[in-house]
Amino acid sequence: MQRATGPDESAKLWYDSSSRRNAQRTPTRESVEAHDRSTGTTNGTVTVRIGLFGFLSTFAADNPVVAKLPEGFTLRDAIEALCAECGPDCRSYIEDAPGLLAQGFRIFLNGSLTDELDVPVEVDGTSAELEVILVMANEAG
Amino acid sequence: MHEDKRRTGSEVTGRVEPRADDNAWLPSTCALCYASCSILAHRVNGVVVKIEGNPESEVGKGHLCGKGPCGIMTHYDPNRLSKPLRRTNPEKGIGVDPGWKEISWDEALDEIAERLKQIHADDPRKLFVMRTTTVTALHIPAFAFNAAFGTPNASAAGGGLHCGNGAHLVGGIMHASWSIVPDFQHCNYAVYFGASKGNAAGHAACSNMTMCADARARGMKMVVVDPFSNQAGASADEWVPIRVGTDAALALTMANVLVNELGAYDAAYLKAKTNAPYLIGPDQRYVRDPESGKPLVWDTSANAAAPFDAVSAADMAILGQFAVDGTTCRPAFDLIKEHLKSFPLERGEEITTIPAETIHRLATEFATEARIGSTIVIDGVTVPYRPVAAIAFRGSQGHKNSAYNMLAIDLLNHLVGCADVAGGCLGFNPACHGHPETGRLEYAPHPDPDGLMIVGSWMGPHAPYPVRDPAKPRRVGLQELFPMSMGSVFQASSDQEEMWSKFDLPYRPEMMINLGANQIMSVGNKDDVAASLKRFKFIVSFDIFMTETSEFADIVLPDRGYLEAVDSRSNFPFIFSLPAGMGEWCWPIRQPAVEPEGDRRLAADVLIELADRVGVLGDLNAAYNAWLDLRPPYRLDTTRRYAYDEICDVDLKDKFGPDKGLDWFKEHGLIKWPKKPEEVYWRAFIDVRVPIYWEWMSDTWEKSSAIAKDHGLEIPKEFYSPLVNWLPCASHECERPGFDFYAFYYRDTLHSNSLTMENAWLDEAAQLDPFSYAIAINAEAGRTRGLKTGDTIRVENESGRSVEGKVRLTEAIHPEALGIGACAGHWAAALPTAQGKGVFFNNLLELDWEHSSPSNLTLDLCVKVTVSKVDSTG
Ligand code: SF4
Repeated sequence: MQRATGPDESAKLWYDSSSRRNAQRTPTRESVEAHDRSTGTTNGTVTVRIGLFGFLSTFAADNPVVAKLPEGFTLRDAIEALCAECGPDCRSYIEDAPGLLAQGFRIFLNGSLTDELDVPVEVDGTSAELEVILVMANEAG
Repeated sequence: MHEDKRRTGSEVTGRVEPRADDNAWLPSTCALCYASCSILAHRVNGVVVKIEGNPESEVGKGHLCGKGPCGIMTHYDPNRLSKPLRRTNPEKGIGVDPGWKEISWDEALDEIAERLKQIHADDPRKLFVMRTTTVTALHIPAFAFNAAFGTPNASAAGGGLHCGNGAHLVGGIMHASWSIVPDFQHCNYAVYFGASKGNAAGHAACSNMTMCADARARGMKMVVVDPFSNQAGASADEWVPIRVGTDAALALTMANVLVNELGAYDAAYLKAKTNAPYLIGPDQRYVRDPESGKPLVWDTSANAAAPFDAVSAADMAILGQFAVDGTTCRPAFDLIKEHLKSFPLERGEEITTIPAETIHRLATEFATEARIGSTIVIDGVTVPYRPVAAIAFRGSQGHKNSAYNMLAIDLLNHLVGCADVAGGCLGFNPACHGHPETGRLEYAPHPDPDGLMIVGSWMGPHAPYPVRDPAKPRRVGLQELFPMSMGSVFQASSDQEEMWSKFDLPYRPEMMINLGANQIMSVGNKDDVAASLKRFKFIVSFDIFMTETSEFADIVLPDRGYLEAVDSRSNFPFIFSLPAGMGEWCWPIRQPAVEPEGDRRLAADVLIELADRVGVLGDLNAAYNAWLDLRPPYRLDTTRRYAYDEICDVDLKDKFGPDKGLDWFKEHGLIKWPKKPEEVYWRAFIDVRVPIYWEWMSDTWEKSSAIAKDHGLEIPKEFYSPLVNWLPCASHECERPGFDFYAFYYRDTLHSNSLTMENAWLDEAAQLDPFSYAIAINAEAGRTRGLKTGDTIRVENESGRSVEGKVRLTEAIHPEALGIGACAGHWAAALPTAQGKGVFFNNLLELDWEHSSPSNLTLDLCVKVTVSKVDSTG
């Protein structure tokens, strides 16, 4: 307080749990939005089967969509392949802006919900199963 | 005897089948309002004879409100629906007999599935799904069905527009929670702005009532700012009558006293936990580091600008003017401090009618009681201690200036650093370290690249922050254009076709599934809602009564009531209705206390059947996997069909382990584990900031306005200022002679939405209550107009819409205000107890863009009215 009635004992608590000099604790926009291909190998390809559910399934001529991606691919790569296959209208529901996924977009990797889009996918073998769905609901009430 | 049974737990059982010696107490969950209190239903020979609070549960803490025990009367009401019905009269309208005939479930489902198949093949977005907030078991099943079918068009009648569009938005952005409440266990001074937390209805209603009563006994001072001194005001230390819809002006005037007169603000909190130090340029935007793109702050130790996360918070300037690369900029707080000067005491008094000295005193008391700088040790953990809270909910934010009415009030908390600290203003459980055995349910707020808070848990996919860029709308509610909106008026507005045409909506809704909502009563004036209902080619309504809205359906399906239903998560997520503060995490379930009567079926199971018939069963299972976050081995197989109780079973095992499935929960009712201070008072332990300066608003307006302008719609800029402000409603600008009352409605403690009017016990109690079914007018104001208690009056809005009711003159209401209780005034013949009782306030509400918030589409719920006497009963 600017006019504290006693010593400011809480300031230390606030400062200790906040960002400090040279401690880059928050992600940069680049790290969130850009692909990080620096890790993982690129030898060989992986067959990625992407099952579309709900509204997204209306955009796929064949469901699941099958994509061949290089080893070390990320989920963002898989989403890009999906959008390329299903067209710009489908992309407009998956992304709110280039690289920014719609809030209701959910992706499962081998059965587990994940939001780690820029991490190279570790594949057991030569194929991976993805499922995507838009969860759409009003939140009011 | 009952007490003994519950103490030993020996007869708390999950059995449903009646037997000769059937005498059991079943732990379950009330659904007469969204507080979802834990109950014990006493069943004797297959009949529920009593409902009590479950003392084992944190949700309700063993207590029920007056409605809870009365659930029996809703359950056994002879007017409940028990058979599927089909209309024979194609003409729809208010008062038009649908000509119902009973049909079999197969006939009903065949026809509905056929319609759904056509819509699905054509365009799934043509399906609109409406639900309600009282049938909470349908929360996840409805969302899952919508996602599976592929429609983005859904709403919650009444709740969507009348509830917390602004409160939830601000609660989410500033507290990572659905709502806010005082930390009853440690708060010494709470100011309520149009809220009743701990005194009537709302989130964690009965838990809060218990905690609030204890706080009051401990000595917590409670100040209630409200046009009407009803439940909260009546039990307060001080009631401050305020002109309807002006709470933000009061809060900003108080903030001005705090900051510019008393210097009472927690500078350390503002530096470390808000965007107060972020430098703002002449364009109202953050000044950003060209390299990293991060907002800059002024580092007082280096006397230079640097990215916010490269500077010790203690060294950040929050006041002053600085030059960065030739641009003059100021910390956000410096701008706020100056902006607050536009709310001097005299202006505050002029807008709110509250005397300047009262405003000054409230601000001074708030500052003094805040004890800025102090700490307290709780369970061995030292946390900041600020035993004050300013809270708000539906009342103060149900206006055109919805979001900023709420933010202005919450700003008081952030100025003194009492947000989510001991004694302060708490969100409902925004951070959870997870179940100790499985680690599941772990969530916490986290920062975006600007360091600002993103919620860890939310009610739906539309997280309140970051606010997405506006886009040309594709949903019938036009929410894409208004990214801060949660509900929307356009699902039933008088100008919906005009708006859809303006924005070239490529389809029109053709079919509606109604899940227990009575939107013709709960949204706005009945004529506009009826017209919107008539535009649907086909309506199917799941309901427990033949309500005014179900009368517009083509097929009505008899739903199970809450005493016949199962739900694995009657109280999750924790940000909704688990009480805040120290105590225990608690996950209760709902289970059937009795077998369903007649041909009633659980709506969740019927939706599964329909998904199967339409061919989207795999999609439904995928949607459940997403909504319930089911992980292997408990995720649903997309190739098989499950019953809803199987889904509940895997949901519970997935969260609590293989031995804690539905059977375990049916026996035990709930699971609990202790909360930690680091979870409850998380603000001091998690590195996130919250925006007291809403920097994105300028961008959001520019983008939405550009789109809107192209389609012939003007969006007023003043609702998108980065600086929180008070702005008038249409009612404040009405100058028509004779229109001298601000009409509003309030939540009556005896009733929930429109649902409980049919409950015979509650109706009896409401008839004894002097206000439940009356129109409250200030005694002096009434007398000067020749009115007396008991007179029948007509209340009319500027468009000529009117309601009638009996006057109750009282000293406990602002002289300019006219208060109407609940959502009453039913006319449906199949609701004989409810019919004609109380006053149908919502009929005074215009449903259109003009009466909605231009920033978040909340409906303006105050109306300027004129009053005339119909007759006098003497
Ligand atoms: S507060 Fe709501 S959930 Fe709790 S007992 Fe009352 S009606 Fe039921």
